Amino acid sequence: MRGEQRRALNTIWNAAGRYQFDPPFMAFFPDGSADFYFNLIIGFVEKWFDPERMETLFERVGRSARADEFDDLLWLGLENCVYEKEIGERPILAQLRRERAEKFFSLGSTLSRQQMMLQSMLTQTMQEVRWAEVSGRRMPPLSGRERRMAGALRFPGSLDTEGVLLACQQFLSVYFRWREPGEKGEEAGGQAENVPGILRHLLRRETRQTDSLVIRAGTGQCGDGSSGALAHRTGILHRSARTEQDLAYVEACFGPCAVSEHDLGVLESELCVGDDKDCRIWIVNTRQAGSAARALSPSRRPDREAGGSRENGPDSPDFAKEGGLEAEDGADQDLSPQDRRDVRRVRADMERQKGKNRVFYDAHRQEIASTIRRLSAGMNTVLESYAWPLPEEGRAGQLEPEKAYRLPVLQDPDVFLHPGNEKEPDLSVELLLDASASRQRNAEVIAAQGRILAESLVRCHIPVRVLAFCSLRGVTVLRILKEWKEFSCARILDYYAGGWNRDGLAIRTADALRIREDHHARRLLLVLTDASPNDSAKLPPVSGGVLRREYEGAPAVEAAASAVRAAREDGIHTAAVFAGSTAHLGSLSRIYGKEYVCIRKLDQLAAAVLELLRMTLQENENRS
Amino acid sequence: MSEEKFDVLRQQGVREELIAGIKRYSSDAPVPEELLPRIPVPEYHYYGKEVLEKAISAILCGKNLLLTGPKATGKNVLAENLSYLFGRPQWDVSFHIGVDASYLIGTDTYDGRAVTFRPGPITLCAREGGFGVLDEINMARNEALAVLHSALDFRRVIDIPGYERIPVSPKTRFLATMNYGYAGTRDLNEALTSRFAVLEMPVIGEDNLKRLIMDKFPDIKPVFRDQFVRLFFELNRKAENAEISDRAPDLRGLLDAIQLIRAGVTSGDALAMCITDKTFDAYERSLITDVIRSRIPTDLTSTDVFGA
Repeated sequence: MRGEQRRALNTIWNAAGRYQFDPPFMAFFPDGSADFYFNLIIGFVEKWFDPERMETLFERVGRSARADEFDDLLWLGLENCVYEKEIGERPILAQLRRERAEKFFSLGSTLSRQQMMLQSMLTQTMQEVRWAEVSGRRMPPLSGRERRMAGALRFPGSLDTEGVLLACQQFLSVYFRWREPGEKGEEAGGQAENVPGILRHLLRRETRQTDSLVIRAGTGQCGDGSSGALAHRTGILHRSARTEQDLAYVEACFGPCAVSEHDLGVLESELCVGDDKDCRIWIVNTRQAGSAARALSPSRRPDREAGGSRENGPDSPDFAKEGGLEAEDGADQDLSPQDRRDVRRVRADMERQKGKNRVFYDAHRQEIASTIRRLSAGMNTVLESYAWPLPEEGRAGQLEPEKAYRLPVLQDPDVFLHPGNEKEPDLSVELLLDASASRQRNAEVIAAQGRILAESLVRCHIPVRVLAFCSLRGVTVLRILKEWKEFSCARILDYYAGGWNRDGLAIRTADALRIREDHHARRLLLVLTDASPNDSAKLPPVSGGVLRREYEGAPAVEAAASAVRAAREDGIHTAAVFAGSTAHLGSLSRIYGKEYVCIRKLDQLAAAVLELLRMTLQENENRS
Repeated sequence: MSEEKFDVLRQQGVREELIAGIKRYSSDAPVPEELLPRIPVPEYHYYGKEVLEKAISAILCGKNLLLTGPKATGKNVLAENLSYLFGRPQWDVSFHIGVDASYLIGTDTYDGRAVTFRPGPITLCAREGGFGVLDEINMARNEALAVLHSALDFRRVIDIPGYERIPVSPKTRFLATMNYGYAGTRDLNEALTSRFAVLEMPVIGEDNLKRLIMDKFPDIKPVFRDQFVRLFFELNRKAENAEISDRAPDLRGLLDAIQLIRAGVTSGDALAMCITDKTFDAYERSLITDVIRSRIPTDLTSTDVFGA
């Protein structure tokens, strides 16, 4: 019903004539569908009265034990008031009001006995009076007090904010002896039971999630007690990353390496040099890692193979459930008991995060679908703008001198070149998602962003690969969440954030893999980052020094910037989508130059990425 | 020369000296008989005194115009109105990514005996003293537009290597349109922009939209005219806030819908055909339907809406 909420919001905004506010109320029917008429009314109240003062009133009323009932009654009063104000400007309102009245009576006949028992009889009666008046039905029998109350709820359309606030307060004061909370005599009387009214279904306060990316200025540490503990633990001075235990730990956490031992060795000897000489690389394909009965990784050592193949790999759901590592023969031999406990916890966290990513995605499905639509439409336009048409031969156009002889000799008039059908944009895009612990609190949003970007590109027939990177125990792990030729982007929601982030090595690894296998003319690497590289594996001492340096701050930023420069020299246009603390904006520009965009909310993604794409292609064109 | 066509200017209070200037401009260089069909007769008048005065003044001063602004600001309507008012033949050139110099200026072709030059729309417009409407000029590559530089600046000439040098008629004006808010379109480079007088087009105002509807449907009942006008602005606001795409706030679509209602289609169907169903996403359609539903009943017929 998330779509209905958005729909209700749109109706309110439209009626209010402005969009930049978050209404304190939205109206829904018991089946969850938006109540069109009452949402219009909510919007009109926003339009005609001072929103802040109205909100203050409802806040005060909200502190009452009978807040639901009071809300329902006051909204009936407001309904009459704004209806009278608006009817001249919007004649259709009379018809919509009649339809709403009919809906009230049809709803009443379908309510279950239990639902009827939950209604506040007074609210029910007041509504019945209102809607009977509107639809011309017979009035219900009323006591004298009820008749007076119904009359008092016909707030006239002549009231301004001051008047309507007074009317609301007087109504509650006269009929319920309502006082400001804390005052004597508060709600001492009143006939109605303190039960939720029917309007509670129709008119309810909403607390909605916000998409804003609030990223703490963390750097690989996590204090929420989840697998962020992994980062804490690895934060201890790391003596040597080149240990088999560490690799076994990484493999147990993320799955087997997708690259053969030989290729991995070549890659490491090329990349794990200089500042990264104590590091290792691990590349995981989540599809392979996730398959239940997978073969052993080519990089596994023969002594492990002797342990036999696994029925359930570390990525399989059963792995964690069954105790995972304990179920394996030999695979956990390199792990200490503490590591085994850690791994179980990480596996469970991964599963939990996958679930949370999917829940978030489903909850924002409409918004995400709309962003994908906007983004892919915009991408098509951008790509169209930067695709040269292939020349075609024809009878008119630019003369091809080398073929001119064909005209008199062969009477072949097709010796001209003119722009032909457009060429497909020769572009591929790789998304590199920072998956360190500092991204943990926004993991769902990042997973959704990755999927939005990938799906939009797929729709535009642009090859796209999605990698998530993190680092632990000196091993930089790249998880392939979507392969180049894979059509589905669903696995991107397997995104999980934990550990550290050695941005420089991750970018250089992505670069090295890319130049081996991707031969498109235009290659774009988009890094979704908070521009805060930080790793437990230290940097070697500076020349002449003896102390190893922390991989953080300026040296880490410089390492990342150097990797970006190298990637660009290799013809891979590298840019960033930044969502993080403004404290890191300086690092962002040092790493990526001018080629980055900052976003705060999910709905800014489309515009930001389009601008980045346009900028990148323009730059590419200028260079060529 | 018919005085009637200036009535719409006078109604809006456009200065008389500008109207006199238009008349002088037209009478100085009569249009050849064979080009008369190229003088457009606009379906809609442009309403907006300030914009009209600025545009007319710029043309009288020999400037080319770049009309910028978002969708539904009447850029093409204004261009067409100007050609009509000045009585000049119009050449329309729709710019797209495939536009190159030969498309604009002309190409070589074989006429059965020899390779000859076949003039393009810019060349023809320049020769004949026409108004060239360069629609969505920023959709083309800046390199392709470089051939226009000499035609647009003080040189007023088109020089094609290997062919004659074509002087641009003193009556020729180029009216470019550009929707810079449109995702993916390029910015015009400085060299080209500097050759135009830029006219930022405002979104049509409520009163002017009412006039436009009354022009086209003089018998529409005021109550429904006002509801259609407000519907347009509500859809526009929703698109500005990115809740829906900009397909729905379509002025042409709204006018088409009113026309269909007059032809006997019910209001619900007409608005669905001309506005709602131009969006192919079901959810977006539901948002548009909600806006319409809050303004226009679905079962209105021609007799309900017309007969004022």
